[in-house]
Formats: sequence, structure tokens, C-alpha cells
Amino acid sequence: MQNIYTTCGYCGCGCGLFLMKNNSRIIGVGPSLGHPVSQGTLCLKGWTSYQYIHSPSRLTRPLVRKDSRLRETTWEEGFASAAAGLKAVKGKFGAEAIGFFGAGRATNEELFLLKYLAETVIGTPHIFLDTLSHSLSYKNLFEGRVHQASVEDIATSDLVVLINSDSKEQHPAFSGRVWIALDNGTKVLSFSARKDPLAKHSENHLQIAPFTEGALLKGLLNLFFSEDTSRWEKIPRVAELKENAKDYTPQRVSQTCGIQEGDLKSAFTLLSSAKSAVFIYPWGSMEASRERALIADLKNLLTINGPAGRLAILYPSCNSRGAHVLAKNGTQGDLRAVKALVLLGEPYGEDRKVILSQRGSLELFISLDLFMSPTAEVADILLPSSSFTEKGGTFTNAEGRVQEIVQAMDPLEGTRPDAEILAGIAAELGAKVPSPEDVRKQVSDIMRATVPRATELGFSPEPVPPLPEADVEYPFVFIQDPVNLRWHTDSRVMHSPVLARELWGGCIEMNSEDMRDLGIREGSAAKFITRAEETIAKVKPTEALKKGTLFSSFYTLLGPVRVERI
Amino acid sequence: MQKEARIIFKSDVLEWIRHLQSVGEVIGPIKEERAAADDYVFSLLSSADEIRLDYTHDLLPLKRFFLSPTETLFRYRYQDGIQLEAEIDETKRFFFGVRSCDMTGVRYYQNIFSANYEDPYVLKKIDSATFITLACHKPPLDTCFCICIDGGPSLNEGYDIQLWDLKDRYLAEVGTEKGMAAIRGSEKLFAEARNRDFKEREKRKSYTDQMFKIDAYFSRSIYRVTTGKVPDEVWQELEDRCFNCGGCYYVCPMCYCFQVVDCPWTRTEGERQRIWDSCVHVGFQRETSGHNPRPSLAETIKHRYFHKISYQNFRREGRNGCVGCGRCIIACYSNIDMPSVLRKIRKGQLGMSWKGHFDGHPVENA
Repeated sequence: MQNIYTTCGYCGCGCGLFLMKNNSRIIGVGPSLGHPVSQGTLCLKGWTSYQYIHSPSRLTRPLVRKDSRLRETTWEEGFASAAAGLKAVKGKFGAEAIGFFGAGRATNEELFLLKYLAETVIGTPHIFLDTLSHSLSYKNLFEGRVHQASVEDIATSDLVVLINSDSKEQHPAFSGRVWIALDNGTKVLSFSARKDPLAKHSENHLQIAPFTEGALLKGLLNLFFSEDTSRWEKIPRVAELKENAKDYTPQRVSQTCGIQEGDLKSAFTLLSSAKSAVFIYPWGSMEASRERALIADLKNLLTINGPAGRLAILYPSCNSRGAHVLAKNGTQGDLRAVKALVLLGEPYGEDRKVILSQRGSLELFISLDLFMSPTAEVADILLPSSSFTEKGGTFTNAEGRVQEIVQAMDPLEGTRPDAEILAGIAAELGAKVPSPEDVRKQVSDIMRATVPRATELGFSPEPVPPLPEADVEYPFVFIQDPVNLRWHTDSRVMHSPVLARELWGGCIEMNSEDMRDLGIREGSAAKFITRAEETIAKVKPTEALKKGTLFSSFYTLLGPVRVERI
Repeated sequence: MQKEARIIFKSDVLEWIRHLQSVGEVIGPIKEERAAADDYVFSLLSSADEIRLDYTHDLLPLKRFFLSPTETLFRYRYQDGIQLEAEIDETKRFFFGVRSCDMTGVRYYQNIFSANYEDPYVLKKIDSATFITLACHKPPLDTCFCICIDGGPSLNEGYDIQLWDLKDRYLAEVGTEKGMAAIRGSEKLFAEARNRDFKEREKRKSYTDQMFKIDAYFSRSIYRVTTGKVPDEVWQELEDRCFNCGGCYYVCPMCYCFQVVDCPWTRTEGERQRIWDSCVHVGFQRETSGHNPRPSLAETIKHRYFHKISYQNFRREGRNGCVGCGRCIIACYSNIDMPSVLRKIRKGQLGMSWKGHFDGHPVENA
């Protein structure tokens, strides 16, 4: 039995693990005591991260749609039809009608190649890495005075601020450190609409109304400005910021957020007296436009709070951060202008909904995937890729740590690593891609380049979307868990026997009083209706939610919701 | 009675391993080149000098070689009726440098898997293995507490050969005929042990016993758990902290839950596998009807500890389901581990500090 040291392929924590290999098969996973992030721990996904690799459901043949059905074909024909399709769209609508989407499960090198294929070979501005709406938020974030928090900072700080973070479910390697820090006397200030177990134990939890995080942050800024403001004079545009925050008086903010004024003030006291604070925000816990505004608020608060504050943005995929770094200087597109889409991996949450809804207007949809996922099902050309154990490369974790993944086995018969697939398509298009060594070098240069530190504040270029207002007809507001959510949409977890069993019977959580009012019994199902869609799900009573709020890690419902008994 | 014992100089150990390699596979602790400094794992040795007998701890117990995380039970094929082909591994293996706690775990596995039904997959692998253990002359990590639960630091029985590190040489105590056979081929490397070697072993032993940092008081907890005197709030607090990662199961040498899955490769061919699983996972307890007798983490955690420190002790194997290896302390995100849960149970109260074990807060006495 061999043990191969590599990096986990699930979330953005980037834990180290050993793959156990026996007779050319990966049969298990072991933790790594010395790894700086995981330190001997692994979450359930980590422990079972090998289970989908040898799943009988893996795609092992290229599929091309003929007469509206996906039919098995050879790699040569797969490449040829992909290239022919791209050429046809280019001829008909121009190069700018071709879009490329690279999901965060791909390595930096593969995403670099995807970008190369899009920019140099095809010549299109529509490149999406990890999400449909990244580059702006990324720019807003790390070009400011914002310092990156590492996982070790949590133990040494005296305050941890959790924004919308359900500690146990999302990024266990980070939240594990928060629990230990809490045990060791670090103060934990958290605000979210759902009172998760950590919030219950942390004593400083503000249970705010859904999607009012931005207002709360502005309220804290307002309190900072009510003190002596001379120390911020040198920051450009600080007067403008002060003006913006003027309206967010403690009275108004506490009303918007549905909290006590005193709680807001004591949160401010905690924050302003902390010598070192770590802010943690999980990417993707709200719709993209709202999130961009929130990130700007966060950046401003951190800038005003001074160098004592550090920020950790927790990304959902193993290489989301790498994708964001690669996207930073790249162009960003508009999906609506696209007639052909090359999709590497699986988008999640809102992005998946948007892409699936755009499917009808696409003339060509090429998908590189491991399993028959919802996006793979509707592809015109489906090329089977290899998993993280079957290829080499690097992942950049949520802290920006660039870590190696090691090829532990030959690609599963019939599959190919994404880099080879991209090179194959490029070759059919008559272009050459850079050699693996060249790609590696260029990626390492990009990852190593220091981010310029400007001193500008963040101003959201677009108005903050209004709160989803519940009305008489649709009285509930739905909040979601950004990472757990992927469990439902991510086909990989569903092909691991242990995870699939644990995820069985996903439900929507509801305040128990609301359930009583609606006459819904525990364990029974109900119909959840928004203006655009409806779904039927089991309902679970909880005390962690205030009345009028719904929560689920399995479903995404946008906008206000009506609940009906069935 | 004095067991048969020999002396082998450290400089001759590699020679001995090379000889064992000619007889069977030798599995020992190695350090993966790229892994961090503390990462040692038991692997098949491709050459004898890879072995690192100065290792600290392998985070996964030896159980994985006998009940592997994914194990093929049999292959099936439908061709003129159903054909089954079982795969029972009887490769001769030498496990070199095994810690006492892991050895205890393997012997316990032998009991479990032969109790109601003889499981050939596990038992044959253990039967064809020879265990050369290494008595600890100091706790390898601060998390060790084997001394509290009779899992180490050295063994009185269970090993085939037990090595004692006596600076420039090892004292090799032979426990079984299998152990004797492992020495026989390299007889010239060994000398008879003399009185001063035994004296030195005793000195080391008493010195080692004083070096443990964690106390885990089982007796009081066994009583409280068995008589149902632990308030529900304690389990509820554990649920709040638990990440449901299953780590405490996966790293425990005494845990043996598994589930069975079928892998259909094609319509007519496939295999049945057994994979590691944990009773802490809520889905593990769910019945086919959808009914779950233990529907929350609080109940599954309660079940796990009840099983480990009461049921196994009184009804089954006559020992607790713990060897004191301390791996659960490392594997847990939020300080839920055997010593801290025992403390919690013993006190039976809430609001007790969960502060870690090694930050100047010695564990209170019972």
C-alpha cells in the first residue's frame, strides 16, 4: 500500500491529505498532521474525497449530441466536432459570440490554458472563471488596504468577526480554529440571520434580518466616524465615505436589522477595542450584486478599523481563489452575448441557474465534466475529464496558499485531464498551446506577483439591490448556505456512498411558530413558491431562525417565498 | 516467567529487514518526501532504509491494513447464472515498528471479527501477518494517554516480537512462534539477552510511565454512563460542537463500523465493497423505512460513548473501546475527544471549560 501526499479537491480550505493506493486504485484517505491548514483534521467531505473517483457513474466516453440524443463517440471525433462547432459559431456570429467558463475545481494550469484558448486562439472577451461575476469583487477586495488573514491568525487574534458564516458546515478547517480560539478566550462576534451552534456559544451574536449585513457594516462605520475622525484624513475620498455612512445612525440601523441599539453599540466597542481582529466572510452567501456591495462595505470597514483587522474570504471550490487571481487581469464577459459556451467543470448555486436558463439561446454547448451533472445533461458535446487524483498541478486555497496536487494514478480509462482536452480542441483548431512547463512557469509568476496596495476605498458602482421585501402574498425570506448548497448541485458528492446517504432527505428549515401557524406538521412536506418558481420540500422546525425566515443548504430560492401546506 | 529475548544492534536492523523482505512484504513507518515534518505513514517498504523507526505517530491506525477503507468482498458476473469470485488476501506481511496501542487495536479486531461470525477477510490478513512492535520509551506525542487504559506504552502480550530501544541496541522479546520464525532466518544478527539488558528495560519502563501529560479517568465515567446519570444537556452540548466529520471514528484503532455497497461496473458485472463508516453519522442509523432511532448527533454521540465505555466493557470484550493513542484529540476540530468527554461525563455538568489540553491547564483530578 502506497501513500501519496496531495491537496484535497473539495472546498477552498485546501487541506493536506494522503491518498492510499492499492493495486492502482485509490482506496482511502489519511490526514496530515504537519499540514499548516488541516493539522491532522479532515471533514466528512475530506475523509470521503476519494470515493467518487472509481464510481461506476463516471463519464468514460466522449458524447456528442445527434438527433437530440447524446451518443458515444471517440476522442478524435469529440475533438473534431468541438472544433467544427466552435468554427461554425465563429463564422456565423464572430469570435465574440463564444464564451468560456472555468469552474474552481480545475487547477491553475488548466484555467490558464482555458484563458489562453479563449483569448489567444479564439479571441473572445467572454471569460468567466469560477463565477459569472468575479473580477469586480476581487479587485475591490485585495487592492485596498485589506490584509489577508491566514488560518493561523485566528488563534492569535483577540476578536473573530463572522459575517454570515455557518461555522461548522462551510469551511471546517477555518471554523475549527474559531471554536478552539473561542475555547481559549478569543471573543467571537457574529452576525447572521440564522443562529448557528457557534453563535449560540459565542455570546456576541447579532441575529439580523436577512440580507441586512451591509446596513450593519455601514452602521459600524457610522459609529467609527462619530469618534474623532482626524486619523483618517489622509485616506482619499474619506469625506465621501463619511457622507455615505451619515444616514446609518444606530437608531436606523437597529431598526433595519431588527436588533437592539445597545447590541450594535457593544459590537462596535468590541471591534474598536480589538488589537487584532480576523473577519471571515464566506463567498456566495447572497446574490452577486448584493455581495459586491457588501464586499465594498467590508473593505471600507477594514480600512477605517486600521491595520488591526485582517480579512479571510472563504471560497467555495478548491481553486476558486486561483481562478479569481487568474481572472483579475483578464477580461470579463457577458453571458447574454454568447452563442457558444465551453464549460469546464460545474458552476454552482445562482450561476448554475443562470447558465441553465441561458441554454436555450446557445447554439453550441461544450461541457467538460466528471459526471452526468445538470449542466452536462444539456450539453451538445460532453468530454469526460479526470479528477484531482489523476493529474498534477496547483490549487490556490482561500488564503492564497499555492499548493501542489500530485498525480496519484493514471487517468481513469476513457477520461483525460482537462489540460489535455483543451490542448486537443486547440490542435483541431489549428493552434498550439504552450507546453506544460511553460504554463507552470507563467502560472507561478502570476501567483507570486504581489497584489498592488492602493489606498482607495471601495465604492459600489451600482446601487445596492433593495431587500427582498416580504409582503402579504409572499411573506417569507429565504437564506441559503453558500457551501453546503454545493452538496446538492455538485454531482461529485452524490457519488460518494457515505455522503449521499448523509445528504438524504434535504429539508427547508422554518421557525417552529411559523409552522404551527401554517398548520405544517414536523417531518411533513410543504410547497415553497416564489414569483418565478416553486419546489416541494420537507420542513424541519428550528429555533435558530426568526419568524418569517427560511433556510436550506439544499435549495436556492430567489426572492420572497410563499409556503403552502400540501 | 521471563520470555525468550534476544539482542540486536541497531546497525544490524536494516540487514534483518532485508531478510524479512525476502520472505514477505515489510510494512513500516516512512516519511513521504514532500509531506510536512511530522507526517509519518505506514507504507510498504520498497527498500529497507526507508524505514523511520524514530517516527512519532502515524495518524491512521494499523486497522486500515486489515479492514481497508475500501475493500472488495467479491466480484460478481452474470454469465450462465451468477458467478461469484471472492478475494481473500493471504499475503505474508511483516509489520515493523508498530506502536503498542496499534497492536492492542489489532488484537481487539481479532476478537470483534471472530465473535459471532468468523470474518475471513479480516482474520486471514491478521493471521498471515507478523507484528514486530516497538515499545515507547517516551510518549511520542503530548496527546498520548495509553497508560490510563492499558493500551501501552509497552505490552505484556499480543505482539509477535516486541523491541525495546536500549540506545545502541534493541532488546527483542519474542511473544509467539511466529515471532521466533521471523528471527530464525537471521539468527546470526541476534545475541542472547543478558541480565543488564533486562535491568535497563525496567529502568526505561518506570521512566516512561512518568512522562504522560494527559489523564483520562475512566472508572467514574463508566459508572455514570452505564447508570444513565449523564444529563441530556451534556450530549446536546457535544452535538453543538460536533462537525459530523467522522474523524474520531476513522482514526480510532478500536472502531469497526462499515457499510456495504455494490459497484456495478457494467450491467452484468460488478463488485461488492465494504467501506469505512461511522456510527456518529446520523444517516448510519437510519432504517430502510426512513425511520431513524437516533435522529440527532446528540444521540449518535451518546450511543458511541455508551458503546465504547460501557457496552463493550460489560457485555462484549471486557475492555473499553479505547487504547489511549490520542488520535481523536488530533483529528477533532473542536476538542471533542475521549479525555475531554470523560471529564465532561464525570463532572456531568455544563459550562465546564473546553480549553485544550496543552495550554497550561492541567486536567483536574477525579
